[in-house]
Amino acid sequence: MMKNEFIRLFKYPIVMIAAIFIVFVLLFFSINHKMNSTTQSIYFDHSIYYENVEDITEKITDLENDILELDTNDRYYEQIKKNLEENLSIYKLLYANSIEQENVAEIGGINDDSLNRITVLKGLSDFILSSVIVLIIIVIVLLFTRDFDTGVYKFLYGQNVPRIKIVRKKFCTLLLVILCFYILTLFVSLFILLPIQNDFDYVLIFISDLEPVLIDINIYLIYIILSVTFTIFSYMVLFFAISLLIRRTLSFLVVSAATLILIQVLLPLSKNDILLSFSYPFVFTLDIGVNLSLVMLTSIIKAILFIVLLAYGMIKFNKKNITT
Amino acid sequence: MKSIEIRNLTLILSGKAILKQINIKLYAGHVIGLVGPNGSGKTSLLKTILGLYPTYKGEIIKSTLSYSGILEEPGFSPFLSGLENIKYLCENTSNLWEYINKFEMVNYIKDKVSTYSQGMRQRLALVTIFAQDKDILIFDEPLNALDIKAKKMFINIVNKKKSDNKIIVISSHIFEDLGIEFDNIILLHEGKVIDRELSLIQNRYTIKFKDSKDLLNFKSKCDHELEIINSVTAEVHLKLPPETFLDKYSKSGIVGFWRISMNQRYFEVLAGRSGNDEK
Repeated sequence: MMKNEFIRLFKYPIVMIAAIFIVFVLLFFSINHKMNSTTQSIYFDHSIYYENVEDITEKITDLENDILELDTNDRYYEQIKKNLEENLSIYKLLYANSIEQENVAEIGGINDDSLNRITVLKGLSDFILSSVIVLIIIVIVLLFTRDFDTGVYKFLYGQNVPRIKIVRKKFCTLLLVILCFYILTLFVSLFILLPIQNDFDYVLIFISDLEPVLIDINIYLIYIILSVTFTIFSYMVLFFAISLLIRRTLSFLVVSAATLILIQVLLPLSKNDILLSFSYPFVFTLDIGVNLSLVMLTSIIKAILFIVLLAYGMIKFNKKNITT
Repeated sequence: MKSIEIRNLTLILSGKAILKQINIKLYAGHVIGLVGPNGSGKTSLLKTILGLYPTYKGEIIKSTLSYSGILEEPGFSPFLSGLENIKYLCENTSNLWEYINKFEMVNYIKDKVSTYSQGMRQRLALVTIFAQDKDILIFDEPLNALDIKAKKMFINIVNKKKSDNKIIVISSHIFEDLGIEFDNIILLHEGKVIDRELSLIQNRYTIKFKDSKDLLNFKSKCDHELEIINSVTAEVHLKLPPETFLDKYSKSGIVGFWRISMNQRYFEVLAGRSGNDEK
């Protein structure tokens, strides 16, 4: 039956048109990005400057002295102390790993217009994410909600096939279609990324306030992909759960749009770290200063929440009267 | 014997009781007619049997019987052809092309459903149901928009399916034209089954005899008062189900055959001592 769902889905021209359109825009975007890119020299969000690794010991000593000499009565004492301690922790880490300044960039210190694999992949990911969200909504409409507008539901659910089984197959179809399309866009991205050279080897991020870590740039690129994959999966689960609860195409589109506005626009306005990390893919949240532990915690909560919502949607749909 | 048993079925939708305490048993090899005025709950009962209304109270015992049905205005995916729709909706089909042929869909079955007329959609719906070969077949207004040829084909196939031991439930407004021998007729009124109570409500059955001789013979031996309407028709007031009444005379050889059909107003009994229409 899943094969039948595929065949039916691809009979709707809009699926192929949307997919081809997205890939074309992706290519156009990459060319445009390359042409408008600049190079940059500031790779640290924090005030980190050193000529070579040997200088770092001196910097560490200076910073330790600065912290000791701080005026405890200063109204900004806590803030200044925190900044100095953060810088100190970065210097200690760099010293421990003997890394030259030009080989490391701090996330948050990389200019979006610079030409390196991280910025290009992030730009591509932004576009891929938005396109895949649109595609998820289109596929859900064609796979599921439209059956209730056309009356197909009377046949489909009026047989001795459990509703859960039918819905599970529809969800698996959605999963596979989106996965295939996503892999395709990743291949296109890879093709775009390969010719771009990196001018540093390590990325520095904070696990918690005073705990910086160094990540190899290639591993960081994989983090970006994983992060976007996770976000796509979350949206897929969320929108499918909404469709199960709402069913009608128009209502589903309205509620999906409202949910997107809430998650992507309204939550970030709060500037709250938890809400921010709920809104964006987790790697992107690190760029705006949210530390890794909070981002991971929020992501796990988000995943659990959406999966519970999907399970609730399935149970509710299974027990619901299907009326016209 | 295969059967569906419905016990104390009550369905409430939007706070209103649509079906009230329904108790019926439907047997394999039977064609069951479901009648009632608009809003009596016919479609709701069929939808409940088909599993579209799972919030009912009571029991529907279908055991392991497979089922499928068409409800009013059956829907299809417009971008798919008729054949693709059937393949999408049915996990297994048997004799699919035979039914496509019977309903004269061969030339259209590969066209997109969006190009179909209402009658063609109805025929496609019937092909979809018959080709699935399920144990229970449910039809809600199956003759809607069908031409005479397709209607006849439907009746032939229903009779064939009946002999294949299927349970067939048909809801229609035009029973007198169907030409199907119903084994049971269920009359729904305001969500209640009143088939056996109809006689108590109306107390009147019209019996059409094959000829005047049969009528006179029956009148002379009947212990109920018959009111002669014309040379072949009489009316009788009954306080018992018509089948029981007629069975008594059938056993004693006074009537050789009888058949009950129904129109929207009253039961119509066709009876006689001899003929082709044997019970």
